[in-house]
Order: sequence, then structure tokens, then C-alpha cells
Amino acid sequence: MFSVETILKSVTSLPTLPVALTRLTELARDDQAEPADFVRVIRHDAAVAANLLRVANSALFHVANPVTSIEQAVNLLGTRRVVELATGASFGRIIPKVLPGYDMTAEGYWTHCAAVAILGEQLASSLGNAAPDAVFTCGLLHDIGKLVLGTFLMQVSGEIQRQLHGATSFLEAERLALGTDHAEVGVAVAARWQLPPPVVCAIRSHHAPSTAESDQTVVDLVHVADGLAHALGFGADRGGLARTMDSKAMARLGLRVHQLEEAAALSLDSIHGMAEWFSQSDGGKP
Amino acid sequence: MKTIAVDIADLKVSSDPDSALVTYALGSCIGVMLYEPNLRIGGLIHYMLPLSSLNAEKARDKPAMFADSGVPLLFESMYRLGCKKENLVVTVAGGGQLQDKDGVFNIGKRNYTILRKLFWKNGVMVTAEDVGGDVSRTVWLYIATGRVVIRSQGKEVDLCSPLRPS
Ligand SMILES: [Fe+2]
Ligand SMILES: [Fe+2]
Repeated sequence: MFSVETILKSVTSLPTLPVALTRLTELARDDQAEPADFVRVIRHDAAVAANLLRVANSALFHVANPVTSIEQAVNLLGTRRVVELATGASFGRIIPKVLPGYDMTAEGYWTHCAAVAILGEQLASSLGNAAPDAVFTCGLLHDIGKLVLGTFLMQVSGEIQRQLHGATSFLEAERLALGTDHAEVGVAVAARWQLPPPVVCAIRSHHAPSTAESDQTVVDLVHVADGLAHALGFGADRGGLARTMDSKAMARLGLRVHQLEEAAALSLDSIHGMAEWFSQSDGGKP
Repeated sequence: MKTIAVDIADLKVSSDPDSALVTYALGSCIGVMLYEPNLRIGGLIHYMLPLSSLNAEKARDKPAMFADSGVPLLFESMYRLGCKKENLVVTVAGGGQLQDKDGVFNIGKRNYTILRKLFWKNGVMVTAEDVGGDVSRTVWLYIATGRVVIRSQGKEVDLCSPLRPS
């Protein structure tokens, strides 16, 4: 058996998120920031820069002449998209090839995170009640704890399977078998990466949004987007659809089923696009 | 054996006896499988939402996204290959639900209700189905035999096998 301390300490085995990302997230929140500020940061991160150029030249944007400079790419994509891409590029690089314990490939994990980010962003803009880009980042990182917990989960899988029959959710099964869960471990990762408070909150409370200490709307949106992603088959891990939705979150957001359906319809292409983009990038490779 | 993957919001038909149509991770989405045992032709749709009136543009681009635009299209695709409606073996899988006591997340149930209505209106009989519950399903339809296999929670079950392997 592992102690919770052993598990929480092992977050140090994860590589850190690049500095460029933290800096770009700060710039995105700064109304005074100019495109040139973004360009300066991106120049120092080759992988982020390469991804930016690839996306700018992709079929998504119908450009007449190839985009060759970071300046052009930033102007074309807009700063919000740039931050999203940088987050994706940085995050993609730290995902290991296989995630033991969750019966999930790196692509499967990435696609789930991308789906929660995009669906959350879509719901946020259709409800018009939260900063969509903040929801995107929170969605992308909400299950970060799984990257650490999977290794431990694998070694107790028989136990987890037994617990699943009596447990109300996969998260509860993790807790029963290991004494902690991927939300708690995710918070430890977030602390190590010095992620901003809304992201920490979303990671901690995405399965129990009514316990959020702040950023309630963002947490609620990530919770709902997570459920929707699972329902749509983006993120089928061993938990299946065995997850409890918090009705208070949906009441707080004032959400109706047709809005969920509309978000799903509008997000599908972007989810596929982002999923594909991972398999083309160096994400998941050692 | 060639496996032909059917993506979410897509449909495919096959008459290659050395192939199987497969669709992964049906959660609240529904898979409808059609099989013509005389001609050995199969078709599969993986639709995501009940009604195309939700978004006219999406319904035009991707009719297989919705039950009411996609399922008729699947039948038509089979008819175009010479299949007869009365010979079609129809199976259904998916329509799962998250644990949500208020039913805001009842997309799976809505997906299933509209399908039953469509089938009832058009006199379509369902041979076998595996729907509902809080599980995710992956489905194979083998073209040589019409056998339908469902994998869910690590277990594989035959939903239907109209023909013996020849
Ligand atoms: Fe989670
Ligand atoms: Fe998740």
C-alpha cells in the first residue's frame, strides 16, 4: 500500500510546464499587453513557435501566402488563440505515451482534456457568463492529477475493480483504494507549477463543484463540460459514464439540455481538430 | 479482416465480407446497425444528438450527427445498394446516461426516444438492443455474418448473429 504522502511527493517526477506558458497566461490577463509582448515570449520557446506557425498555416485559416513569422501568426490568430495553442503545445509535451491505470492512451487522454476545454469554452460563451479563455485552460488541465495517480492505480487495479461495484463514482473508488484521488493530486501538481487560482480551483473541485472556494462559475463549467465530454465518448476511461453530476452546478449556470446539445454540435469539429493536432505534434513522445 | 471505423456523427456501409464496421465509445450517443443477410451488406451510424432542428447548418454538413436526419440516410444508403427494408436486421446500442438525478443530462434518453418514434412511424422492428445504463460501449458489425458484438466494461457480448459463418 502507498501512503498519500508518497503519492503526493511523486508529483515532482512530472516535468514542469514551461515558463513561456505562465508568462503568456499573465499577458492574456493584462489589458495593456500588446501583440509584440506575446511575440517576445514565444520566440524563446521553439516548440510553441513551431506549433503556432503550423496552425496558422493549417486549413483552419485560409491564408493566401504562407505565414512565416511569429508576428504574422500572432496577428492572424489573435492573442487568445495564441495562449490556447501555447497551453496545448506545452501540455502536450509532458503527457507520457501511456497512462497506466486508466486504460487510456496519451491520445485518449489528450482528446478528453481538449474536449473539456473546448466544450467548456463553448458553454461559457453561449451562457455569456464567464471568461471563455479561462475556462479553456481550466478544462485542459482539470485531470492533470491522473498523470501522477495512474502509476499507483495500476498497482491496485484488482482492488479498484472491486471498489467500483460499491462506489458511487470512479473518483470515490480511487479514494477508497489509494486514500487520495486525481483531484487532490492535481492540486499538488498545480501548486508545483504555480498555476493561477482559477485553475487550481477547477482541478480541486471539478467532481464536486459545490465545494469550490472561489471561481464558482468556472468550476461549474468545467464540471459540466467534463460530464458532457464523457457522455459524448471523449474520454472513455475505465470509469465509463459512472460519474455523478452535481445538479446545483447546472442550476447555478441555468443550464438546459438544449444548450448542452448545442455546445456539443458546435464543438465537434474543434475537438477533432485539436485531437489531430496532438498526433501530429511531438506530444506524447519521450 | 479489415475494420472500418465509423466516427461520431458519421455513418458507413460495407459489402466487403472481409470487413467489420466498428464504432468506439458510444456514451449517450447511439449506434444503429443494419444488416441485409441475403446480400451480406451492413451499415452503421453513430449519431450524437436527437433533432436536426438544433442547428440547420450542422444538419446540412453532417446529417449523421442527428437521429432524425442520420437514421433515414442510413436506411437510404442501404436501399441504394439494393437492400430490402423487410430483410434488414436492426440492432441498437448506446444511449447511456451519466448519474444525474435531475435529468438535465438526459441526452442518451432523448436520443433513444426519438429513435423509437422514428422506428414506430416507419414500421421498423428492432431485433436486439443494448441501451441505457451508465456505461460506454464499442460495437462491431461483421459483414460476412451480420454478427454484432458489444464491448463494455471489459466484457464482450454478442448482441445478434443472423448468419452462421460460412
Ligand atoms: Fe476528473
Ligand atoms: Fe475529466
